[in-house]
Amino acid sequence: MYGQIGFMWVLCVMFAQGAWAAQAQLTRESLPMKHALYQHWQSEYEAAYRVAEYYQLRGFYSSELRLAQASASLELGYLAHGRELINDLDVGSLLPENQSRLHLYLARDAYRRRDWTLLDEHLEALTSLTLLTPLSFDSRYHYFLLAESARQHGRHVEAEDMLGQLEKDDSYLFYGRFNLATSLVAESKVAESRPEAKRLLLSLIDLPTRDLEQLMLTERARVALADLYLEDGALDAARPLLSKVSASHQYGPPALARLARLDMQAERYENAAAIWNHLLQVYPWHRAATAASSGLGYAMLQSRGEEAAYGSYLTALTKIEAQQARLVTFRQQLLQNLRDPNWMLGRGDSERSLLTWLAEGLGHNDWTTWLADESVRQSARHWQSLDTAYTQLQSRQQDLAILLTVDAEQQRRIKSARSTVYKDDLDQVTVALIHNIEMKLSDLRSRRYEITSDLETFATDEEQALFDTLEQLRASKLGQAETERIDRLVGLIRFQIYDAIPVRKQQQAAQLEARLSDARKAEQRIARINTAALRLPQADSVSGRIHLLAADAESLSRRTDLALGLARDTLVASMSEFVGRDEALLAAQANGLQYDITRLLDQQYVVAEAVR
Amino acid sequence: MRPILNCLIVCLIVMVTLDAYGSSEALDGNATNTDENLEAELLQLNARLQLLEEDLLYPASSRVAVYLSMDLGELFALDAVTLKLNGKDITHHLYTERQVNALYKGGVQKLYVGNAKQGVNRLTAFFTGKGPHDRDYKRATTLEFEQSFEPVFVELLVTDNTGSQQPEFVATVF
Amino acid sequence: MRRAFVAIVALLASTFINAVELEDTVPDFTLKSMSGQNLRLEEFRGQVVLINFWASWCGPCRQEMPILQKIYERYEPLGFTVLGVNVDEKQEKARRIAERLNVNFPLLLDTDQLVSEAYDVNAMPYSVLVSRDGKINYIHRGYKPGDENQYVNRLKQLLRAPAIQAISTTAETGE
Repeated sequence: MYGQIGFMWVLCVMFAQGAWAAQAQLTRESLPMKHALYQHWQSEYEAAYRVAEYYQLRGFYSSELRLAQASASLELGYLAHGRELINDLDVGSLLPENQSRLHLYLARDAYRRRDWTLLDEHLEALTSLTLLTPLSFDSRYHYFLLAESARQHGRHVEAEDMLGQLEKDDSYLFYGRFNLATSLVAESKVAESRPEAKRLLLSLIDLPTRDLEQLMLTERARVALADLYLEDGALDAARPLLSKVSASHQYGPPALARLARLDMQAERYENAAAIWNHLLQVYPWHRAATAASSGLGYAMLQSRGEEAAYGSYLTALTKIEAQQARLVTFRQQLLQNLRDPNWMLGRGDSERSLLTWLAEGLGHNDWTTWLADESVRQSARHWQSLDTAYTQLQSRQQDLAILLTVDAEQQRRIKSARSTVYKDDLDQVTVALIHNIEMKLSDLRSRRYEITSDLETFATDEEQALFDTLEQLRASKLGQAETERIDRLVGLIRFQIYDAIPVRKQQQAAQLEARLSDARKAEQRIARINTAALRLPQADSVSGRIHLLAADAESLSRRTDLALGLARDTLVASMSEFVGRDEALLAAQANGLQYDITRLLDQQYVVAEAVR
Repeated sequence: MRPILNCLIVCLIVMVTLDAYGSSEALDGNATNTDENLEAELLQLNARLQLLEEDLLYPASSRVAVYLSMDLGELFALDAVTLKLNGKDITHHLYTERQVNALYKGGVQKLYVGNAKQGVNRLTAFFTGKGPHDRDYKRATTLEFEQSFEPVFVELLVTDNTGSQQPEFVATVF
Repeated sequence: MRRAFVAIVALLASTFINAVELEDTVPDFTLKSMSGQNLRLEEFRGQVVLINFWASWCGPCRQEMPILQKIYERYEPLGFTVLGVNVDEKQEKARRIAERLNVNFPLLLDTDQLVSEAYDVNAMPYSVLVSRDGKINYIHRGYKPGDENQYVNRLKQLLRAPAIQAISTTAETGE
């Protein structure tokens, strides 16, 4: 039993291994790729890329290694760069798994840009590849793209089939069905499409939602379906759908506005007024509330009279003016804040978060639609990774600067030491000195010492002085007795010295050996200096590398900084534009209200005239 | 900057364009390319730095690198590896499931890089893990290698060629 | 000369092991858990992580752990985990405490205290909150009741940010 399971396991693993089956013995040729794959299979794509680069720098090159690097590149989202790397290799020679991956990434890119022709090309390639090997990555997105492509070509049944491959809790299913319904509605000149669209929207609404994203789509579908009913005049079918849309979410305002209009049509002015009022209180900025100020005024007029209407117009106008003032401040802050790195770096400070600033400054959450824009996303993502890159570069540059300083200092020291050696011929002097001492030592050790002549060698300074004094005395013509005494003294001293010869010999030998050892150390030191000096050209190449790296890091840092600035400017410009839309909206509302007020006052005037 | 951007990216997967005035402007492909290239260049720079560091710390004449690989065999889990060079501990590694799976698929781990003295050196590797039938095992293997003036590459292979239901560990120079 | 370079580069390498600070990338480590698995911090990238250093002799640690357990249960489905790191030299006491407190987030054993050294742990308990992209967001020393609110507030913010490395595959809607 265990054997069977083991066998099956072995088969499965062998299958999963594919072409990169492990070999028993590692070779220098196979090592680089396998090392890169070790990182790759742990989803550590940056490491995988770096490893591949490292081996190529060390001189190992193989197309498999290049492929591993390209794969990592793709996983990191560097599509263009990955493509560049692959261009060196024949794309067809890539393993199917990696070809699939490449095509999926490119398909996604094409889809985001709405380049339908390109999308189809890549989808076709994907389809033929998946016939050969099953996709090793997430195929949900593949089905979604197939559905989108079919939808684009008007092949709605096929699109629905593709979507049917997805699980009920898959967000792509929500998106797919919504898009399909929208397409059908756009074709609503053709009568058959409308029931289809309605059916799809209903099927979407029926799906249980798992997260906020899916919920939003469901709400949106409700509003869209209600619109279809409204167009068909089926007001009663529309109403319950609209009521179900949560007022606290994004599609609340449009749903509410429609409900208010329904009430206006049915002349339920009090109801309508309540809804319009609510819209104005809570979503003054929303497009759906554009009609609210006028709507409320009119509803008030019908239900409560002119004074009430006039009051509501004024209130609305005041609010709008207040919001306009806030936007002015916000704009000023926008230019300031998004450029000031200190503000952006608000560390660990939850109060001053961007979310809070945006919500308070703009007075609403609709900026999320701004963020949902693909170009904004890209800018934000690049800004972030560039910022990380920039910080890394700064610390790399510091490291390299240190290395450069150390390197320069080292070289200076070696050169200075070397020149000292040369200047004083220290090397030769040392050699001579050593030779000298060695001679003396061997001499000392080997000779026998004659009492008469060699004793002087071992006399201490004091003894020598005594000898000298005694000699002087002897030379000064003394008597016989004195001379004899001097002779005896000299003899005694001599004897003393002779006795002490072994010890003194050792002492002298020790001294000589100490000196010899010092001299030898000096010799070694000189040798080291010479070797180091010889290696200076090599060191030059190392320091050359350091210089090059430092220069490259500097240049990369500058370019990153530029790119950072650009990414930031893009975001600021985009945000600015968005704020501009808010401003335009408010201005339009204000104008509308002014007009209503004028009209109301004119009417009063007319009535007053008529009364008079 | 990062917390702010984290927040910015908060809604990347959440919110949907509200209305028919949909904003799907065409992407500027060029900006993407430049940024990509910058990021790739940084990775390349890091690789060069790693190389420099290695050359400085472990010059070719004394460098020894040890790589660990696995050969297809009976299912067993590698837990930890310890290396000793000439009696001295040089590295110790604990393997996570993810790492073991990557090894299993044929990946090779750069376990150690360091310096060895000229002449003969003794490398000992100790392995611990769970063998077949959930038995714990401890194994060791020793390799003597000669360090002359070129870098030395050592492979530690965990294998079960003979189907003996016992893991084998082979250290070779390659 | 080579030796000098070696020394300097080694010095440089050691500067990476200084005290961890906010916004630093969190130091990686692999430790054995009480259940026998080897767990590596970097493999949790993409999740919000609370690293909690504790010891068996530390009273506030034992107070804090059940609270951490509750937080773990609540937020784990959203991509959050607690990693308890025990710094006792001997495991037995720690295991007993863990069993008694009925904790089921991963408990790692740092018996030779290399990891707590790398993190410059100078108080008990010592908690480090890590964002999805592996950056240190918050460091908290010690524990007194009520401190957990700090964790929860910050981790909620961090949870809202999806993994930066994940390439967004969100579909667009058509017009």
